[in-house]
Amino acid sequence: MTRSIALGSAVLLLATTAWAQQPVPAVGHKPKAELPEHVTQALDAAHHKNKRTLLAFLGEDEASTKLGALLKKDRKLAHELLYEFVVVTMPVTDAVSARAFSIDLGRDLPALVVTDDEAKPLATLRNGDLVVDDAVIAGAALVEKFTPLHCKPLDGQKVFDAALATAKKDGKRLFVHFDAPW
Amino acid sequence: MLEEFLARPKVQERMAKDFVDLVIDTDRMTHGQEIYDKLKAGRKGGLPWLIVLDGDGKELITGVGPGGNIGAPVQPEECAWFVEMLNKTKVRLTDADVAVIAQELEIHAKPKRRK
Repeated sequence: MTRSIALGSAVLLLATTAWAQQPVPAVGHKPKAELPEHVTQALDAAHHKNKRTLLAFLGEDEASTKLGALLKKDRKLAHELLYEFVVVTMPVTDAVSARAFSIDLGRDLPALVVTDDEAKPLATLRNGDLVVDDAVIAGAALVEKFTPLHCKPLDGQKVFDAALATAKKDGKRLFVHFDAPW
Repeated sequence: MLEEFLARPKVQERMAKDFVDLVIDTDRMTHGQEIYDKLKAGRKGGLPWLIVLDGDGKELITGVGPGGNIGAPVQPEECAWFVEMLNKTKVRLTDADVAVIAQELEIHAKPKRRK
């Protein structure tokens, strides 16, 4: 089944208070292996796709609802998430994971955590960062915050050459699938 | 979608006997589009696009079957061509291995088919 461009199908999420451009102190940070399976699967997928993981702690509060709507409706933000992030919606009942990423479920929601593929937080965005004067931050502002956190692009030629060399060495075929995030 | 299928344990284990699996993201990898253009060589069809090469980089078969580009195979004729690609390029894979992969593909694809 081939595709035509369909950017609007990205999953979206997000949340509340303190965006730190620098890595957050790893207070309570758990090793990847100790996180819930759905998170480790997302981290593995992010590693495989050379992407970051975005953990979205969304509550049922108004700010979370507004932010969720923004993420679904803002085309540039949806594109950003589709291309550069594996997005995981975190159950607000998951206090263990919240603690692991220094999120206070009673105060910080909605909250967003961007991690590397070992679950190390690269940036955390809490309620106060996302909602200013009762208005949810603009999608463009979120994209601006996310952009510096992108993984460095892989060199396709190097990846291809290495895979072909492995195939040759092992007497195998090279099965290549070309694709794009959309 | 194809990656999800190829990551199924029964598939991954068998495909690894004969194939090095490589995904080239034409949008996010530098030079990804160039490699795609070079191997596609002006042929029609869009993404996803599959090709099997030997260890010297010689083309053995592509994902373009009798009905066109199978992309990430879902429809019965697309799945049939995917299996044909394996049968035409396999070295160590047994017929039983290919049968298991075909069965897994059917399990993966069937819920995604048009009604």
